[in-house]
Amino acid sequence: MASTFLPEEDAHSKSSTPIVPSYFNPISPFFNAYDRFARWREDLGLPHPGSVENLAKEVKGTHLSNYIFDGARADLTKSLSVNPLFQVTHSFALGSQTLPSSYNFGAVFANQKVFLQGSVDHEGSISGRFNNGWGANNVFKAQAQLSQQADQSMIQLEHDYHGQDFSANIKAVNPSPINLTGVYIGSYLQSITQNVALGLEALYQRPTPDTSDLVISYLAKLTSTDKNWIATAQLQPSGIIQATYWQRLSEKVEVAADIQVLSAPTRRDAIATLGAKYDFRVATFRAQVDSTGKVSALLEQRFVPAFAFLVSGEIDHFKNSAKRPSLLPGSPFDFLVTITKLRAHEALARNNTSNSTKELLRRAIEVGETFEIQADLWHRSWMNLSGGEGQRILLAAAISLDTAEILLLDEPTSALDQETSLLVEQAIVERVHSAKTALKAVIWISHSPEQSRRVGSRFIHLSAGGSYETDDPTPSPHPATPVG
Amino acid sequence: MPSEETKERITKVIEVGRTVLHYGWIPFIIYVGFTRSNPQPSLIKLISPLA
Repeated sequence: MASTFLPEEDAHSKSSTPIVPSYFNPISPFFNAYDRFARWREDLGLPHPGSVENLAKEVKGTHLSNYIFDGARADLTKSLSVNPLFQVTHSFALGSQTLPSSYNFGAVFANQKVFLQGSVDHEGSISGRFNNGWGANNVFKAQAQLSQQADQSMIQLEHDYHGQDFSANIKAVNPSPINLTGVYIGSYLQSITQNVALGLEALYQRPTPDTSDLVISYLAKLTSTDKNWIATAQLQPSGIIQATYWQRLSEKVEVAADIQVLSAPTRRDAIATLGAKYDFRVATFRAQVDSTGKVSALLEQRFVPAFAFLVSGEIDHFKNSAKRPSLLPGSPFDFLVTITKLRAHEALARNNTSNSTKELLRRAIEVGETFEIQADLWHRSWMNLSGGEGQRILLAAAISLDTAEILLLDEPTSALDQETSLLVEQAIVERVHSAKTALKAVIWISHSPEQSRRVGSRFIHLSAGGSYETDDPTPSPHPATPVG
Repeated sequence: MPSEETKERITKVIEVGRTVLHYGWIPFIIYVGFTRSNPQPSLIKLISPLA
């Protein structure tokens, strides 16, 4: 805007000192002031600060969290045309511990102005991207994920504006034109000096027409003059601070550090990650260690341009992961979502219409709360849950799924204290007796005769001497004669 | 605030748009890519992972 006004204003002031009749005359002082401000701003020659979305881009490119995978993967990419770019990709993933095997077909088309990308997996879920440049500085982006179930679809609309020394972005996630629910995000980043840029990001959430919530976070970015190191910080008023530092040590070696601190009244937590990336002629090696004791590495070897061989590994030193459900990836929330996607669950849940994922998660959190599990624990990683928390969460999940008729529980309260144990026992027994739930029976393995008496109706006593049914769970001093 | 009837119509339009996007997006990209590519690739090369 500013630059288009400049020549005109100059012409006015030079050629015609008397006021030229124009519709803009009444407001021309504002234009003049704006132009003077714009010119002054241009004279500062501040650099473009990059976008808010890419604030920690260099760190993410150095760390391997975005690249790590398990199992085997094969990607076959075929470039059918270079200009404009047109590619199709067939990718196969097998044998992962965390994800089911999958096939994915993707197509990309791009020219100077438009970028189209789409992929479809073997279950028929589509994800797509559409970017369109309206000009050199304006980019419109749309992103969608469409699955067979309507409630799992997602759409995101976004507009980027890049000024000479600032960038602005507005974003809407799942906006509803009917009642304006959705998530709206606006962000702005402005260069203050040659090296410093400051910005803020506002997140406005409106999950239902009656509730809404605004969160503003503050951003800072420090770039060295030769662009060899970048430090960023992001502060959220709820008490989350994320700071990153990235440095290029040489043309081939980059290191990055990332620290996240959460200090809320209910919870304090911090995690730091340190990583390095080495670029070789035909290979890239990334290594990373974090404060939870995880060490991971990824090697990417390119044999020919279209064929790359990747090896990734991760070792968790501090946690004894075999003892706890921490063999599970992610958080309890992820676990529940994964279960709802299993075919077996779908088949069982079909006759029960209230088994949509959202409804299930709500129910699981509700059951969890009766076990004194706060809702936010469902989003914490299994690794960071105590034994008792994990045990109660798994029980809450099993109960709230409400598809099983029989539950097999092996020492389900082994990590719980007396009081919580009673809570859990009561809830499970109630469910067995309730006509509204699918649960009909529980096979409960316990070492405690008291507990057996509290929950059981029929008892089988197992010992080295054999097994027999009894009416009294108290261990008998004279077990049955050993058999065989 | 739009009337109930308008709301219903908007919901229907969104639902139809979603379905069209779901089934049409990949064919649309392939059509655009196929017609704009230079040189134009053969169809078999486009679909088969091995060709």
